Amino acid sequence: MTALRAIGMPARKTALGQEYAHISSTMMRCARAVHAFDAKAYDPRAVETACAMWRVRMASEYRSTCVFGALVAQLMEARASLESTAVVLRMGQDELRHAEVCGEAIVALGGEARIEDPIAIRPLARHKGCGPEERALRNVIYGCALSEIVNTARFVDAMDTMSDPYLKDVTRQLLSDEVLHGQFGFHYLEEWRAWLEATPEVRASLARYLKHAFAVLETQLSGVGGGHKTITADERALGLPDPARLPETFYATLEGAIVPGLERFGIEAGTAWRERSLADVE
Amino acid sequence: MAKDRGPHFLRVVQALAFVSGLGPVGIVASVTACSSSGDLGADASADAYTGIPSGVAPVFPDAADAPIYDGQALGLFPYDGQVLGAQDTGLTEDDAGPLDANTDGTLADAAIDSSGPVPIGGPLYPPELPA
Repeated sequence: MTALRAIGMPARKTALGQEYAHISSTMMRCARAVHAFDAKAYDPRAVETACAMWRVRMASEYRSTCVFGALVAQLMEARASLESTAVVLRMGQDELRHAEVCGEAIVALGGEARIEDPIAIRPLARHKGCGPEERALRNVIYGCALSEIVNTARFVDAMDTMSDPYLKDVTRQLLSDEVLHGQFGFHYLEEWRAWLEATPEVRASLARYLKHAFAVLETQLSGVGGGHKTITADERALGLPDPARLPETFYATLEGAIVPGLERFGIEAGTAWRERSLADVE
Repeated sequence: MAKDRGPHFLRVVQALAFVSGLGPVGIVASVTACSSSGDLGADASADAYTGIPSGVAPVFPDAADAPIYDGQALGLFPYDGQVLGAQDTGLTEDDAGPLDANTDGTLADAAIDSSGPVPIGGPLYPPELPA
């Protein structure tokens, strides 16, 4: 069997590489200011752990392009606006650029920027019984207004505690795009506000979906249920996540930002959050 | 509980509240909380944030040490021309809590694993409702 072709850093001298570099530079929402990492300032084990995190992050960012890619088709089925569909395409491209940014961090930390894992492309949820408008709304809400807002909170949290100037600068670059990815969920709801107001049965259906979706999100992102680990000062400085903070950031974000944000559109998200359940939903 | 978490969590939740479109009340509340803890130093006053445009350039000399306010520059806090007084917001650190009862459970392991509980970037695949 032929070995999987590794995905590495983009070429710079080929025609495609130069075109990519042009696209990438014009899409960056903030410029990088720190270009060198000082490994000597830290425990080598902490640097190695940080490198492992960035390696996983690189693969995750790369894979997540598929979610936005599939979402584009669903927005077109829903006859969403041209601009909202274009922004989703942009966000998909952001994820590819993030893979490159993560790769740069890996190299700076002494590793090799390569994605060797298989990339499994899953179909995006179709939500049997839903019309195209609600199908797209459910997936935008979950992908952006829920999971990407939590991701943004994680980055804000990391920025608030890490101190290494290079990794902080790299994280800031990712954060600047994650803000858009999270906000898109609410921007999209705003675009559909009039339609939602005219279809109360869809708002009720979205609230029923959220009862399950919140429970799944909690399982995936809250950080509750794992073990204990005390991170070192060097690990904290390098931006490694503190397990003790994960649930707090998650619940504060859900209750302080996501739920009230969704309720602005007449979706009973507060009730759905309180009654969240992985079991069958009525 | 909220006080135990300190201003950091107030800043996180207020930043994200802003992202989700709830309005500008988080800015001054965050400044107030930050000032009271002293972690922004002598410049930590509401006046220091007057006139900040949304954009991409860091506007603080030491922005790396003020990430939420750096977040302001990143567009987290789109300045709308009005700085509310802390008294107008009615917010205190207590507004950041309380936490959900589920946080009494065991905390997550910090193992870095794409299939584990630590988020590492990118949207998650939305779930289907159970059949």
